[in-house]
Amino acid sequence: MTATVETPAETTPAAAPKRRKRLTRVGILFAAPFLALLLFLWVVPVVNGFYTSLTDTNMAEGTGGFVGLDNYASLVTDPDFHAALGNTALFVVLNVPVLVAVGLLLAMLLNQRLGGRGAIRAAFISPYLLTGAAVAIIWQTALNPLGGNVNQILGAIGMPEQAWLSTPGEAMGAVVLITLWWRVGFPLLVLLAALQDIPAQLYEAAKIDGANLWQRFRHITLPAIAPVLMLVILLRLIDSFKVFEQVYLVTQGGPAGSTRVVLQMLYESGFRDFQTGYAAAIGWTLALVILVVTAVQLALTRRRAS
Amino acid sequence: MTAAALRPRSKSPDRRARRIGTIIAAVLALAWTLPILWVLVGSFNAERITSGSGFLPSDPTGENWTKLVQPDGRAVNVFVAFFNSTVVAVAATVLALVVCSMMAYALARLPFRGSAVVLAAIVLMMLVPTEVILVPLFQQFAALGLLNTYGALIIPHVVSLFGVVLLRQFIANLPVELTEAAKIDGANAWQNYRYIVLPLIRPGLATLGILVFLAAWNDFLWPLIATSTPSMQTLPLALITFRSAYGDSEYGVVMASTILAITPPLLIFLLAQRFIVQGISNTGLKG
Repeated sequence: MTATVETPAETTPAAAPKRRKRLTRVGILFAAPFLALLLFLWVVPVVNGFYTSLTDTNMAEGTGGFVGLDNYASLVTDPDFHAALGNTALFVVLNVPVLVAVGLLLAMLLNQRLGGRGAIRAAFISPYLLTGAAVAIIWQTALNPLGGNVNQILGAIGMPEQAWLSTPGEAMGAVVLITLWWRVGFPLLVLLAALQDIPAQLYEAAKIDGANLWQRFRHITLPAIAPVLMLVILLRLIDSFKVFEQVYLVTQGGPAGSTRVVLQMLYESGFRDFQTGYAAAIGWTLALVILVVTAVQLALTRRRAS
Repeated sequence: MTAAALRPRSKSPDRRARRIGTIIAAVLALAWTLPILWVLVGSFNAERITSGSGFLPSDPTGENWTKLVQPDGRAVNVFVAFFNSTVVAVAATVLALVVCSMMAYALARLPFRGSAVVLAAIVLMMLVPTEVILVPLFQQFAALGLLNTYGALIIPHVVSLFGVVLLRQFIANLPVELTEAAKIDGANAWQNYRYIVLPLIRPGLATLGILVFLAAWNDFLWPLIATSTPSMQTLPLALITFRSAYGDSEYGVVMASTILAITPPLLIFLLAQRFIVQGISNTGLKG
């Protein structure tokens, strides 16, 4: 963050104490609506949620007493949770590299001097603006095993038709590709902005020195965009752990639970089975996993930078 | 002529590379928009099939759209959902702009006791996944009797941590002389904020406004939890309810409602592409 221009009160030392007091009061008035909502929407729920996770609250029965870390202990041995965590991890491991790699390739393509670049960029970003519900409907239709458009295309080029969403091994792959289509606009735009900041002279000079395409990418592009690339990876990591809509609405977690992710389990325990305390514990565990991954990624980035 | 003579070998391959690049990019871009076009085609398709719509309607008809406009006795009225989504997204956007810009102004120009700590806390909170507070937030809205109201759908979108950080940056970058001059002319803090600062940070407001509007319009999980009757559903929920209820018999109508749900965001994108591009690029560079 760039340096802030601090309070003008500091420029007039004589009047400073009195004015600063008045400024403070006016400042709090301006901040009050946001701070009140922040308290209600963030601070209280975070504290509240942690307490709830230590109880066996059941929303339907309206009961609940303090049980300490029992919910967390149950999670450790809950095979459902293991499966959900495993599916989420699989999604993260597949989704983040695919999304970032394709985003980077498209960004590099769009960084060339192309005709109609604005329209081409718009085409790649447009799915990013759609609600997950629409994305689910679009792809369920396209991937329908009976005459869906994707199978029509496969049939036309002589490939076997697939029941993508009802085959356990393939459903997760389909979800990853759907996510790629839906979300690639983000890495594309952020990385394109980073690529455009690289001075063209660098490439000219390297070309004169006889560097080939790969060498130019490895020694000019990659170092220049490395900080932004790490940030994109981090943000996609966090986002991928919170995968829900495209899975819940396209496969309902199936077939055979092979795509049921943590957030779906949280939703079902909390709002279908009304095990509020357990759901809160799932939420906190997911948050913990995300914070640990964030910390590890930041540490790795820092070590690479130094 | 001389330029061409000087660089006879580099110029034509460059142009050819550019043409090949353009063709590759255009084909990929077309493939990317194809699924959206399929839905559009499907909404004009007469065949009552649950599967694919083909690449062109085999028997083009406006019947699906007529049915969508006349929801005779259906449990899900997509136009009610459209109205709800509009109310929620517009109200959330307006409130978020007011609340976040006032907070940003306080942080940038009227620091109060502890404001530095508050800013640091806001940046830290951006790392907390919102899903961790889903359950307690539901309980709080339930306790206040706000579930299944517009309030429940709007309020969570009003606080944008990213928005405060973004706008604070915009305000901090304004020359101090501007607000100082107004102060000498007798403007108080409110007038300064309202008549000097707000007009100058319009690009930032546009970026934040569009991001909040899209988030509120597209949100699925929170409305799913916070609403309980079809009359309060927003469009994403209504689409899914509609699909489960009528998807088998009236797939074309589902396609038409999908088009209805995705048109406003796509229109906003076409009209304000610059701000969306800026907004998304900024998200990546935050902190």
